[in-house]
Amino acid sequence: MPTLEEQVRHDASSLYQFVSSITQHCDSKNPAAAYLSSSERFFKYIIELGQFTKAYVKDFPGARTQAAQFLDLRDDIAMLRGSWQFLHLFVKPALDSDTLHLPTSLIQGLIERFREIPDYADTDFVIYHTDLFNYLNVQLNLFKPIADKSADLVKGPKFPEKLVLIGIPYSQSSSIFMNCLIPHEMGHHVFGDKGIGAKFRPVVEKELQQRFATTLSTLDRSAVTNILVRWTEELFCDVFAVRLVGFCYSFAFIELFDISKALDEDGKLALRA
Amino acid sequence: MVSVNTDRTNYLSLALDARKTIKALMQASVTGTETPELKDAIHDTVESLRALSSGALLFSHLHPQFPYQHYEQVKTLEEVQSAMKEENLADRLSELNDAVEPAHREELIKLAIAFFSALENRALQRYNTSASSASGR
Repeated sequence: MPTLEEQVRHDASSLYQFVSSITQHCDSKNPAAAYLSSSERFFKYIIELGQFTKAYVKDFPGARTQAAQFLDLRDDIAMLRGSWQFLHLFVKPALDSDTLHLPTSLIQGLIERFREIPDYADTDFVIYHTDLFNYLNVQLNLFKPIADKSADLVKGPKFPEKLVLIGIPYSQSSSIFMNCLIPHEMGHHVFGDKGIGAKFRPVVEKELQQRFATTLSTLDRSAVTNILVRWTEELFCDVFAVRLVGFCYSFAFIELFDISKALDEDGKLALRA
Repeated sequence: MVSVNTDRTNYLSLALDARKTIKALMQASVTGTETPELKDAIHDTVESLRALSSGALLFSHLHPQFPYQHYEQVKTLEEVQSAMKEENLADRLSELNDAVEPAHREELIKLAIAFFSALENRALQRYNTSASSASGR
């Protein structure tokens, strides 16, 4: 039976290998591929955080001699592994998204327009591919605290300020109307960044408590509150997108949801039973 | 767009918060003083535990770093509270922010570490076992 120290040494080695397997993709990316500057910042961050994480586990056992210290390190390692699994989701998709595989001109145009909004003049977006037929915003107010708390464990770098991740379907880099959904995802960033959800949540919860005091437990109320706030966010993002790019945003929905099926032979809305 | 949830990420966020609090508690055990961040973490936890028991509002004192904002986080908190079978858990944890005898304080720190370790482990387990292909919306 291996000793506790040997077990934790194994955990440390395993994490080292896992982190290396992620960062080497950024280190040895295709030299022929060009990336948006935002993506380059993201890769640089991953490499730096990887260096700090590897240095942290390489320093094993350090000054640790007590069982409690080894157990604490084991918990740190488990947490770091979880955090790197989280980062793992984005590295390869971001590497796949070089400028030849993104609607680069459209993105640059959208970012320029977004930056006209007060407070967002220096916000940047990493656009990555997703295998889902969907557009995603990785909320910075969720992503950055996770990255930064992981970095705290290894005294590593903070995630860059105002660097937002948006996922687009890998197949849609040349679809003009579909990519008009990107402003909706930009809206998610504004919603989170301005703390709008946090403002809505207590109001919604209070309303639910008043109306359903006897039928909803505190936990149920929390679940319903979250659902309502999420839908509030979606509505906000729709309005935001329309304000940012105009009615072409709605064309994306025609393609995404086959809304044309709702029209009759004269192109008018047909209400079917 | 709707359809992809952040549930899994909420578990990881909770686990990281718990890890940070455990480290602060271990530090407090050595130095004899609690940092303002630790006091805030204890306060937020106590308030949420009390709201779960009394039916009071959970989000009325929400601030940006509040660790129990999402359903998954509140549910995990409730599960750990039930599993610990510790009567008056919220009251006992809240004593950490009061001036108490050193021996009693050490006992409270042990209880708090046990509580946050259970929270961390459960949240991390949920994160690891939740099926989700992405973490955005």
